[in-house]
Amino acid sequence: MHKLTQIAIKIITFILSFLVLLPLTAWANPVKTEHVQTHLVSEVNSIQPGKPFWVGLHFQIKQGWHTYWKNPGDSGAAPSIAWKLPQGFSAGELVYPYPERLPASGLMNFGYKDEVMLLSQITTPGTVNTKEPIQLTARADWLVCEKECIPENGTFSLSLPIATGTPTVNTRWAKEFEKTRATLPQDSPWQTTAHIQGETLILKVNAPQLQASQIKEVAFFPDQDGIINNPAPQKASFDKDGLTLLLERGNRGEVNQVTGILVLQEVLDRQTPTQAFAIATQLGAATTTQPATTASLPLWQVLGLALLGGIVLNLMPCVFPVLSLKALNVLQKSNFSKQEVRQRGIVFTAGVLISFLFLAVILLVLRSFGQQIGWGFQLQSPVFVSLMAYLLFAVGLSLSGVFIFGASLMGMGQTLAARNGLWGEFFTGVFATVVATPCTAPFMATAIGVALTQTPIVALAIFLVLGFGLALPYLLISFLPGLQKILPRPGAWMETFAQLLAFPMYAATAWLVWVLSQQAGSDGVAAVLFGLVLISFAVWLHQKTQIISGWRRRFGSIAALVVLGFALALAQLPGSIAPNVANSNTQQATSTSLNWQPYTPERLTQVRQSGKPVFVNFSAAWCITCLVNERVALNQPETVTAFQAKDVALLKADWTNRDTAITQALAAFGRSGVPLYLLYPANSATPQILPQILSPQEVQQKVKSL
Amino acid sequence: MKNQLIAIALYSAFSLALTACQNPSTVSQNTPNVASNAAEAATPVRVGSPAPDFTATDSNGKSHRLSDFKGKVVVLEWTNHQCPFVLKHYNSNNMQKLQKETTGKGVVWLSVISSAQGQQGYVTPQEANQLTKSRNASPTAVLLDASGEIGRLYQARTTPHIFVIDSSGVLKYAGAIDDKPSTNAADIKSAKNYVIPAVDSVLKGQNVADSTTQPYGCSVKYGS
Repeated sequence: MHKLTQIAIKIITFILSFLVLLPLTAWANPVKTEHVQTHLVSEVNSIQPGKPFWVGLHFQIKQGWHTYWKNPGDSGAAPSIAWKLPQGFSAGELVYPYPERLPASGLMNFGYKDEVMLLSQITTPGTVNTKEPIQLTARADWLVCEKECIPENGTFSLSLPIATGTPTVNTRWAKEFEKTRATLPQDSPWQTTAHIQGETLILKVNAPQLQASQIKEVAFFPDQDGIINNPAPQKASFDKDGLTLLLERGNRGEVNQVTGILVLQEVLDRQTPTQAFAIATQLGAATTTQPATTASLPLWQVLGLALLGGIVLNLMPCVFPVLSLKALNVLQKSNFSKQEVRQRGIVFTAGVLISFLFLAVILLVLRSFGQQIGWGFQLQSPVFVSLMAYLLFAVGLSLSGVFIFGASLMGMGQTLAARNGLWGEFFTGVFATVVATPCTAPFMATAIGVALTQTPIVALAIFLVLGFGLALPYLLISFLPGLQKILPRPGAWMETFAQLLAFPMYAATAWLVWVLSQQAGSDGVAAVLFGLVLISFAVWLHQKTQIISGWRRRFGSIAALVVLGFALALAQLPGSIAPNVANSNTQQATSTSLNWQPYTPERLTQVRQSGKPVFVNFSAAWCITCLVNERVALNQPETVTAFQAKDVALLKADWTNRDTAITQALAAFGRSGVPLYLLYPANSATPQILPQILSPQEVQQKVKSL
Repeated sequence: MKNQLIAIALYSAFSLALTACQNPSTVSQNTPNVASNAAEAATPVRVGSPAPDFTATDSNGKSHRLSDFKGKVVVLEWTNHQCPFVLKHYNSNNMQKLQKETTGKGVVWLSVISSAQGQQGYVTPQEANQLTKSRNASPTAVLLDASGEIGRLYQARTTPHIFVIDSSGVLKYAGAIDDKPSTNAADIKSAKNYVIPAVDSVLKGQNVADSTTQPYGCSVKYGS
């Protein structure tokens, strides 16, 4: 045959074989579309009758594109799969790994980038009357989007032989299945409650052992649409009760239950693993978080306190001179009729009330923006406590006369207030409020704390009553001029009074430092004390450079601000120092059949000398990864059996309270945090170090190979 | 004056520390910047509350105000003629059928296009009219909302996204066109349509059974 003809025939057969195979590619596995390569795979190589097994639908997604979670969010569509299975076989619902938030021009979707595997469990009949391989056929539809969306689909076929023995694992995909299982939502180990307050859905996760410093990111994904406003920021905060998540409500009017998954990214010393927990909770009645200081005060008492507070404000050294001078001015001018004096008193009151209203509105607006600027209920936050200590200390310094607080502000206000006529009166009211603010921080704290946790109406009421208290003495004088005689005259005593008042401020500072010592230990105290030194240096710099002229003054002011900045930065430090609170009794109530003994270095040596293999589990109550590892890998029946078969001694090093011996043991392995898993083979000096994220297979395999 | 400024700066530094100090234990989310549209921060438009009023220009240059239609039932349909989900309902004649049936009962049907210029689905007035003609559609008007103002006001998320407003201006239905979130026209037959029952209930003065559903489709192509 001619060489060319041979080549031609080869080419033709090649092309023909392609044409014959072409219709089959639709049934091929994987299905390759323009944006996704999709496999339908089985976890096992054969089917054991009566034993369910898992299959996975694996998407390899083109860079920049994404597919969707079961709740796709603002747009898009979840993938779907329709099975065609032989008699007696059935497929379970698709099981989804946790998704990520995918923003798109003001909207928010929930889905996956790069790759994802959705799982489905296939149930098999007890007996199969065929020797032929079983054909599992499925058509999957999915939507893949970048900016625009492309609906794609594929028809897949899986052929698996029937075998009576335990099936072997599909090694090609084992890693993928393992990876996927690590991203499936776990049952939540914590109690969760939900309630609605206005336009906010508040999720509370009762996990007091969680620590803000340990958690990098929190996100909630609702199963249902309309529960939350998807693109809105989700605000997470941690306190002694656990995690609080503030979510903006969605467009569903009636919400009876909240289900979804909570995704937490944790900071460990080597990596930042992410864990997802399934959450389902009925909607509770709206409850307000009350600050600890006013745990159960009825409203009238709160308002009474606010009124009292307002009256006391008059005695504050920054307010008193202004007001009494003003009052004297007005009253000494006998050319005013009683009528006019009263009118002035009323206008002044109006000025105060409107300013307080303005303050309240600003606070409420900030609050509604989710800026939880709070007081009382944040006293367990070390950073907040430090800032309060700074502030009270600065107020004290100001009262002691180290520097004049807002002197020029007063000057500005004074020019306005000095205007005669009713406008001047009104501005005196505004001015009194303004100058009162720096002096009154500690006093207003409680009122603001309560106000912030109340409905807007109650909050406004509190502020108005506070303002009314401030205006009350002046108002009384203007109506009862006789009162004026019993009022103290401003004079040198005012200075003395102010200096005296400084000491309660210092005392309060001392108390806050003590509070901090409980929260952040000696390091936290050191940080805040040094911060106080910086604060006093900053105010001294500021005051000192006020009296020189030109660039020096500017330099001094800038330097003062810089030093202040350092002090504020120092206040962040206690927040990162873990509290030294004993909460070892907050162990998770997981049904463990593993018999842990408490770890001590001596105990470890002792057990190793006895010739037993040892597994050491370094964990802490606040470590989410540790918790998940215990539930998913260690407390599995197979793992327990493996440990028992090899007679492994189990030691648990609980680092919840930062035990020194444990810290040293961690450091010996170059770690600065938990989890750390060590497996000492019998009679071996060096342990095997297991990864921070355990898979049951890996633990079992390591134990079996001892 | 300088003195005063510095004093104010110091004073505000303190007040900041005092009031606006962020809760330090707050974990901020990587959320998109939604500050660009204030409507995001507004209360979501809910079934049972008044539908927000708006003024819009249609494809013939005519201006419409929602409140002008008081006394009539109004359907808002968000659309983008290049979106596969919209194509499903137009190529199968399903959307046209819904428009005919409802407008035949005296309902006002407004198709809204919120695609920004340069984005998928953006059309000029002429193109909009051309589309209406070629697809044999019969909306009362096609509103051009390239700024995305009306879309954001209603928090329209997908194309299609349907809103039904009763004759007194109260929103009675918001959500999907039907319950089969696919691009496959064959699904329309077996799907449960939401629009017709919603319109019929509203015309009878009754509440809509499924009044809030999850809309499905392409995202509305707002300008960023």
